[in-house]
Amino acid sequence: MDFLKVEGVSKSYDNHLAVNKVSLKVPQGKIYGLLGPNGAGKTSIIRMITGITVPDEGKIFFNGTPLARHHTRETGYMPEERGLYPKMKVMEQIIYLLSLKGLSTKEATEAAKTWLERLELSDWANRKTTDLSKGMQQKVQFISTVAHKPQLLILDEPFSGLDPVNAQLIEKEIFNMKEEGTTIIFSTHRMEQVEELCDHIALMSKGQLMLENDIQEVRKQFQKNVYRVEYKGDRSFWERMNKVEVLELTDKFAMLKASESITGKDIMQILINSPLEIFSFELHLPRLREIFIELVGKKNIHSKPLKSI
Amino acid sequence: MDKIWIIIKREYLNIVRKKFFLIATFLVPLGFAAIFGIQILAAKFVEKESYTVLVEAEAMPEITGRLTRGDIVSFENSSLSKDSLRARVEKNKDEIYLTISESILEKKNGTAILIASKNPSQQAIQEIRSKLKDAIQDYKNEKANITKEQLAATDFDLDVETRKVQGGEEKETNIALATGIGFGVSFLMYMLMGIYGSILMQGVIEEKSNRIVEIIVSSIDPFKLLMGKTLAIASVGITQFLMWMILSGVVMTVLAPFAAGMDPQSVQQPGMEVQMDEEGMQAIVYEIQNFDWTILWYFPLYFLGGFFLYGSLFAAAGAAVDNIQDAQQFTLPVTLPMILPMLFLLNIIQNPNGVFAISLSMIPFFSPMTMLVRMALTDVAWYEIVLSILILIGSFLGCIWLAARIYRTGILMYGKKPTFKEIFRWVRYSRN
Repeated sequence: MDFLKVEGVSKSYDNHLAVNKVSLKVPQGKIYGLLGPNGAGKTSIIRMITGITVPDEGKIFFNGTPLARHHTRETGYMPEERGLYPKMKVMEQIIYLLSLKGLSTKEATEAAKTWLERLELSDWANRKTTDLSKGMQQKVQFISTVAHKPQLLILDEPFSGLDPVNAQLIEKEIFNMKEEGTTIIFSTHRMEQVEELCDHIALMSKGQLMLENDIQEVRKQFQKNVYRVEYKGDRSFWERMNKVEVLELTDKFAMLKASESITGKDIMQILINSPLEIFSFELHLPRLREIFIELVGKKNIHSKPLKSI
Repeated sequence: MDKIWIIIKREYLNIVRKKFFLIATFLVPLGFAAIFGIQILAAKFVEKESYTVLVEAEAMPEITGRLTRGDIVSFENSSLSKDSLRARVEKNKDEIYLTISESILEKKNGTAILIASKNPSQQAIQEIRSKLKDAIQDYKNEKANITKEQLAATDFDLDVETRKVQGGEEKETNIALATGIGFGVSFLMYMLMGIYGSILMQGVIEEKSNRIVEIIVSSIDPFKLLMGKTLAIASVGITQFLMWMILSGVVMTVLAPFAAGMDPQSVQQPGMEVQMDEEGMQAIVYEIQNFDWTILWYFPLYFLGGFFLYGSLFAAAGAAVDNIQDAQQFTLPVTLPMILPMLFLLNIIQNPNGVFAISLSMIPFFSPMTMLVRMALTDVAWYEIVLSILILIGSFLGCIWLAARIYRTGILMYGKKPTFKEIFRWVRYSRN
């Protein structure tokens, strides 16, 4: 079931078309990666999903009903550029942000206490935010995003600026929430995190959706009949092989690109009958990074951050 | 609880707890009390000075013989030469050497010269002047064969008292006091609107530069956030005004009995323009207490109207920029119309019922500052007040509408400072 559906949504600012007829389906209880270079329209889409802005055209459905203001109670949003009130006490701050989500003061206080304890910040509850280290402030930020148990959690570059220890801690909590059934949208341009965390991805470029699918499906879709074989034996064997192109060869493994007239099964057959010792034979699935580059071009990945609205 | 109340509560407490608010709220009336109190104390411990005025005995006996002793000066005929007199007053600080030219007696006016080692006090100079003038006048009268009896019989003094009729009843008014109150109230309005307007703007800029605003508007509509902040700060302004009124009332009540027991002469300060009459402080206190203070009921009304108008524009200016330095360019068009009526206050005071004054008190950007001055000085017709308030309400609604459009786009914009042209586009385009 799709928890969130975006249907043909467009949004323009001034004369700039930030999002162009994008449709997304975010499955329930999965971690959904929204990828794309800076300026692809990720933040614009997220702002529409969180209700901060309204689409020029198209519709958004939240758990089957058209998106409305009251859905903010069920949404947790951590923007890429985030901050807190520096002079406010940690506890007051969390309670304030949770109250704005619709929790009563009592509920908010309890949730804040539980989470502060969980992330080992209880001793800091009555300190001003500005007294906290950067890492602690980020934990406070995370608490105020998730402590009201949202059904939909939207994290825009959640790990940017996090030290490895906190990143791991937050990652663990994100998985916990997924286990509890929370649908999570995760926006980033860092591919290695996506492969590690996401079940599903959407790739955007220049305001348009390039692809959207289960992450394994995507990798299969972009496979190019390249096989990786671990072996032991005479490496000259590979050069004598027909209908395959050797892309990479060492004494331990070979990367083969099969021509269209030969299948994986055929190659396996040949290898079984060969004098080589075979340890593994697998279809090489491209890394997301490679797919990304193929779709949007290398240039876009390294493009300088454009400050979009 | 509606979310807007959560915003109002936080913003209100956030400012009310700040040091500057407590200081301004308590120190202003206490400062006022202190000045008042010090005057009373000073009057009790005032040092009586005394001078001996030396006059050349030979010079003009017909005049010098008529000089009488005053409160702080006494006259002494001296037979010393001019040079020795000069030397003597240089040595003795409490002696003054008075010279007059003889020709003074033939003229309509003249100048006397006081020579001393330091400038005598204003009070002493005034007394010498009045005694000398009396002496000359007396001499001239005698020469013209006008007797003291004749003078006394024709002597006449006139006071002018202003009264206004209200509901068939006459009430004494004090124009000087009304002018002072008008100025004061108008200036207070200007200060409160300016200070709280820029506090609102700073709040908007801080939320933007702290990058918390995006988190907040994902929970509450930006318009509600803006209104919450505006209402909270307006309430702070009203709170401060009320505190000032209550504290000033307390101060007046506590100090009034002391003031009543004061010697009016002793509070008369050199250079003070308004000379106090015989009833002195007592009369002033009486008049302050009897002033028609209904004007104070209108203060919060005009403050709210003016604050919504200016405050929303300040907030819009804040939303357009990332930091306080950049805000300058956008605050100028907001502060300018605020200062303008202050420059016209004198015109209004001179003719509070003139076309110019009435027009100013109708223009929404000026009415909060100008209407109250008029109300202090004259009876403004009820329909003029109603009309000016209606215009003010209509205008601030328009300003809030405009500001909300700039605000909701501006708070999400970072990077380069927008131009006025871009801001107008936000207003036109703001569908969000």
